[in-house]
Amino acid sequence: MKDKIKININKSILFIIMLLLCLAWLVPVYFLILISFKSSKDYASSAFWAIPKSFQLFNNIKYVFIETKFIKPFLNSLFYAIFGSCISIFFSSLAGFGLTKLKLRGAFFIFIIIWSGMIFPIQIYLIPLYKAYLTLNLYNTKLGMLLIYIAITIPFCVFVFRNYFMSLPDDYIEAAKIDGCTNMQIYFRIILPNSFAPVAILVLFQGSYIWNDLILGMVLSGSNNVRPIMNALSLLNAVYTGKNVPVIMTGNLLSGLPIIIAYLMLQKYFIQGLKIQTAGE
Amino acid sequence: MKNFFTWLLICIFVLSFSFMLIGCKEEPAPETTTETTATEETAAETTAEETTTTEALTGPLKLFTDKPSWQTGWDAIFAGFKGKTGIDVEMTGYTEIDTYTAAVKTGIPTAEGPDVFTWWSNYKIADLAKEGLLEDLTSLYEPVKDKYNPGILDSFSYEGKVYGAPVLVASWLMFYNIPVFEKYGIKEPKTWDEFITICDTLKSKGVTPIGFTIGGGWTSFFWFQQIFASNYPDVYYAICRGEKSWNCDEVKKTFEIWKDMIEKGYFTDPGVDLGNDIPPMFAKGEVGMTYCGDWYTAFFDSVELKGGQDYSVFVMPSYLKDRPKTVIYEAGPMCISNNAKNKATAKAFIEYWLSDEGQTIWSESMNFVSANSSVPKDKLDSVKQKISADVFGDPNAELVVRFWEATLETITLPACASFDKFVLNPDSYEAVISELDQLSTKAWDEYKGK
Amino acid sequence: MIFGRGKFAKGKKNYSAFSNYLYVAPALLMVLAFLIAPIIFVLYVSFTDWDLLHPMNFIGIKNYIKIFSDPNLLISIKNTLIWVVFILAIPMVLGLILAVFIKNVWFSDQIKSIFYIPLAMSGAGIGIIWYWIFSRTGFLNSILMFFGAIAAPKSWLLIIPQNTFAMIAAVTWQTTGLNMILFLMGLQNIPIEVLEAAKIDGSNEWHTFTKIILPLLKPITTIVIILNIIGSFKIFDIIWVMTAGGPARSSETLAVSMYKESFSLHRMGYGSSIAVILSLIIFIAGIGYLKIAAREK
Repeated sequence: MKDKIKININKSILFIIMLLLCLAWLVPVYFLILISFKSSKDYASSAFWAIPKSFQLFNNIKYVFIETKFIKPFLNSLFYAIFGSCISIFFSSLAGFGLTKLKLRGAFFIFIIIWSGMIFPIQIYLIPLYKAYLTLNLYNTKLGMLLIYIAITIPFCVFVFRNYFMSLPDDYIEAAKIDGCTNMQIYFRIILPNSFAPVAILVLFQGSYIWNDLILGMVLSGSNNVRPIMNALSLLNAVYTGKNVPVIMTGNLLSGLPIIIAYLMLQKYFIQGLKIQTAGE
Repeated sequence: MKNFFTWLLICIFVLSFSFMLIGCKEEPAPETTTETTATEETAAETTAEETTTTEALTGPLKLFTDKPSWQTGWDAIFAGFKGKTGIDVEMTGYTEIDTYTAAVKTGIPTAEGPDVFTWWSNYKIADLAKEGLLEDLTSLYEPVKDKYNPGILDSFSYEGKVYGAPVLVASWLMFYNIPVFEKYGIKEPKTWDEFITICDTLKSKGVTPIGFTIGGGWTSFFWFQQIFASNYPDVYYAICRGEKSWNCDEVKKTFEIWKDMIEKGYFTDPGVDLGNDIPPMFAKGEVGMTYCGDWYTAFFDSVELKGGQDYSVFVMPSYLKDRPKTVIYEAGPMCISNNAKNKATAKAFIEYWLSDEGQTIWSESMNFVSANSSVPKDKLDSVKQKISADVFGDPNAELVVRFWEATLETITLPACASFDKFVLNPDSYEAVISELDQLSTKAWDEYKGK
Repeated sequence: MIFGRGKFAKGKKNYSAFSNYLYVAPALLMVLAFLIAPIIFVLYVSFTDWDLLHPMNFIGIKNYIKIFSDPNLLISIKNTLIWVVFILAIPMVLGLILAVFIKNVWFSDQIKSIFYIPLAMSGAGIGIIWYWIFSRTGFLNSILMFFGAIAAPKSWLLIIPQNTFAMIAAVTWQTTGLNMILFLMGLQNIPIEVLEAAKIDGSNEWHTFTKIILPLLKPITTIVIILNIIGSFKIFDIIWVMTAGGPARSSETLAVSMYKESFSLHRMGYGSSIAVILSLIIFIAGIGYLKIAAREK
């Protein structure tokens, strides 16, 4: 009896803590949405928690679309995020497979080289990459943007896959080898089908990393046909213009939507653990 | 895990060795690129010579700017230029100024960089001109020379040649809140004493007299510049040129006046934001005045305040009584890269830009006071008309260059950090002055070493 | 196993065919071409006085000496360490606790979506929102004044060291969800039977957590810690938007100082040398941690 009460008290404390945490996470989002419903005049002349005087969301969205020429950069970023993260994940999972299961000589050294791509601050790449892109004619091309996005997301993906594949038991691979499977077949039949969780999480992480990139897009591309979405949105908050806070917040909301949708689509794969472990043994 | 250390050592050794090897290889690379650009340059020159005879312009023109949010103005002028020559202008906008300057400085030594780009006046334009990276625009000014204020052209010049065409000419003035002023029966001040009386009145009514901020890392120079340059312009220029030490009575006096104003509580808390906070505080009547460049009208527009109805401007009076009307100004130029691929087009574009037609389009679409004196002013809003009459239309007004351009860029930003320190602790002004002095000496030594 | 070279490599010298290197080649080549090659250029620049305009002059290790005599840089190093400690302490631990709660205690795990929302925003976007929260007319001041905790609004982002903690709060809001999701993925691989066996044994919850859950989370913890170590050294966007390192360069970290020196002040050489030092610190910290993780195994 005593124990039960104790557990209940524990549970209710936990409940309150969780509630507070959820609130802390939701409050900024709530005001983000509330403000994006307002007009700039309404925002400036009344308290920020006040209920909007009129419903201005669609006007704000319209303003964002006109001011930033939203559609093209949006589609560009969609292209970079989807293809960039998928190609990078494919390359990385191949590398992770090679590094852990194929007994490569110097595997650890290769891993450290790839991993070290993670450690450099991104700003330091700007000048050398810009120079190189100008000479190689990659500047302001979709291919150039895609290549750098793939490259910059590879190290983390390789790191995750290497760690993950190490926890996959070798017995299955040995068994498959005895059955006469080639390495390629092992990769496609055993490794990939057991990697839904890391693949889904990496698609989401690296996709949203690419989606939210501002600085690489600004330096390595020029025209609206190539530039990613964050460049277009940064126009709303540029130095020489007035700050229309409701429009800025609306822009933030709009740019977050695709990632939220991706999250909702992918989240069921997060909880798919190892098929071998749950099915076998 | 002994293996770890051997591996780490091997890694470091191999990496550093390969760095050295490739680093040595890397070195000649710039030379080859300069070679190719040199050949391209000569090619561009020959085509330029051809085009001057055949009038064939190449396009599209590549324009880089850090002011892409002036979309309406750019669109209008590009359309006008296209109508004249049939050539498109491709604009590349940067919203981060530091990235922009780095991109331009990296881009213009090659033909792949911009043809035309916006820049800053005085030392910043001189830096590029000194290295031979800019095209001389003096000849393009010939047909319109007497329409442009020689002082503004001076700030775009290096060794007697003009390298820039004005994109923005802004004066630094005091914006005031008309409803608040009317409510307490206040009129625009003509002297420093009247100005102080206004501050005291507003303060006693519970309105913060002046909106001021050190947020954003660069705004703290505003009041130093205004007090110092409007009272001691000669000393100001001498110090900005590195000819005089910061450790002088005029600078001390400036800080004392400023300190007095801070201590009397004339300023808002320095933590407010220039863009996000001050315009709404204006709209709510919490702030009476704010000092900024005249492009600040766009900030009022963004909260739908109307010029002439909700806010207006006046020229800040000087502290010293015998000073003539002194206005701080900034002039933003547009330059042509010396290595431009489409140089003939770029010249045609600047020619169009300087013409009455181009300036009228730009001035009307952006609501900017044009640097070209024959551009009609009647399409501007009432505040800009007032600025145009009070500042540029007044032959007695003395124009002084803004601090941001008047001195080396290695001084301006660190100096703002020193001003930050002063604002947070006004008693520390003597320490701040000696810090500024050291900073300035170091920066000038570095500059002269180049 | 995290750090080892795999079972097979240690035994017989039974290395595989050269063609197997093709599995690694695409990733390796991309990284070498786009991420390592530019760093070689940066390394070279760090020994020069390049300012983007004038030709580079080789000046030896002067830039590196300057770093350790520059008072601004010493503040940056101190701030960077504060950031690393707090980022490892707050968002990561919070992420772990949330993951465990959601897995074991909470009635619905849909609640985790709430913590994922910030990941849908860019660093700059989050910076804008939190800048507004801490601004003078913003959320925090209004709430505190409403409850009478403070008499007049405060400028949180101008007070040292509150400004750094304000920004750490923003980053906590941003990255807790990411840590949580990674931990959840790790928890997924712990078989239910293990936990139930522990319950039958009568071990209490704390014991289950430290003795069973944590060791089983080991592989994912390594990833999360490495990610947070690297991330906390490199944090830039949020600081740049919220304080730009101000007031008076008091809230700069090494990444911000590097950007300021190289891009705002155009001292490319000096900025590059800061970048090299920063990367070296991250490299050593990362490798050092990987080593510890491997030893514990």
